[in-house]
Amino acid sequence: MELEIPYTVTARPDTGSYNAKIGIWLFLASEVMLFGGLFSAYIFLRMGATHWPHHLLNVPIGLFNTFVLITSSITMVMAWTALKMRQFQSYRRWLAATLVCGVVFLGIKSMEYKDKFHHYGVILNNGQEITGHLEMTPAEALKSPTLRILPDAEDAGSFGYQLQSIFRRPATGEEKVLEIPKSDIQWWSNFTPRYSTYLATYFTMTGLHGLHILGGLLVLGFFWGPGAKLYRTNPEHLANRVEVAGLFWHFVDLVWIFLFPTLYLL
Amino acid sequence: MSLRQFHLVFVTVVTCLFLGMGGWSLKGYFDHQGGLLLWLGAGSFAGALLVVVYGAWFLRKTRRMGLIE
Repeated sequence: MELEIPYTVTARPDTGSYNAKIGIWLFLASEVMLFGGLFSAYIFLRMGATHWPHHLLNVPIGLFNTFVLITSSITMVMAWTALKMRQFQSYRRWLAATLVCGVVFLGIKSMEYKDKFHHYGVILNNGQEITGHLEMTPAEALKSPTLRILPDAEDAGSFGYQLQSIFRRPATGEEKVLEIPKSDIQWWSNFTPRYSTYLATYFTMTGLHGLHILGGLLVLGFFWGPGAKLYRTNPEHLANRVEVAGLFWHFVDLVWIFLFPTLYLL
Repeated sequence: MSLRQFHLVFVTVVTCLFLGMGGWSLKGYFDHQGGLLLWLGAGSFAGALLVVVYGAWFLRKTRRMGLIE
């Protein structure tokens, strides 16, 4: 005797939703608590901080990535509506566009991470902070008695400068490079989570968000590829599955809509 | 809540983001942080309008398709 799982296609009368939709909303509720906890931690850390850096992240890049994710939500919902209208080829095209957007987002995010890992900060014995790029390899910097660092420009935090820096690296005039003896340095590091509370918060929140994007891409990739076979036997069931994946994708995009102004603008 | 309804919530939040971005840009412009911010502000407000138009179009399209729950 074969047992069939009820309410995978039609709505359950008492809840008004099919099984997977109830499941995803319960999951998303737990996700709200996870990210809500992190946002609360951010607020309290910031309130308690004596110094909080501004303009450390590249706003034009973050803004572009925001556009990419907004576009991906639109293509996602278009994929679902195409499936509801039984336009299979259109569904696959829209879903492919969503996948491309997700990959582009992660690619840009990894470039941002790489840029931060190559950005250094030096705290001098008198408490002054100098940030910039090392003009030597990290291995050389560890052995050398002095640090050669090209300090950030004064207007490095401005929108115009950040926009220009995407396309060309600031000029590395030899006269601008600082040679700082290590005896004058209290502490130095690249921009990793250990550098400051701000960067620890940034990497934790965007890293967790990036993992969610990656998870979403795996699910959407499955529905674009092998999972799409379900269309032949039960298209409405596939439409429901894609709707559930779309709800997750929208949630992840929504989290970014809050992350972007929190970390990049404020 | 269906994907259609959640998408409309998303569109509303994106509209607020664009409005906030516009405000942030204009504040930066008036604080003398560069003329580009004026363009960014104008673009953000135009973007907010565009998103509202898209939201209305999406609402009509899904109504025609009978996707209302």
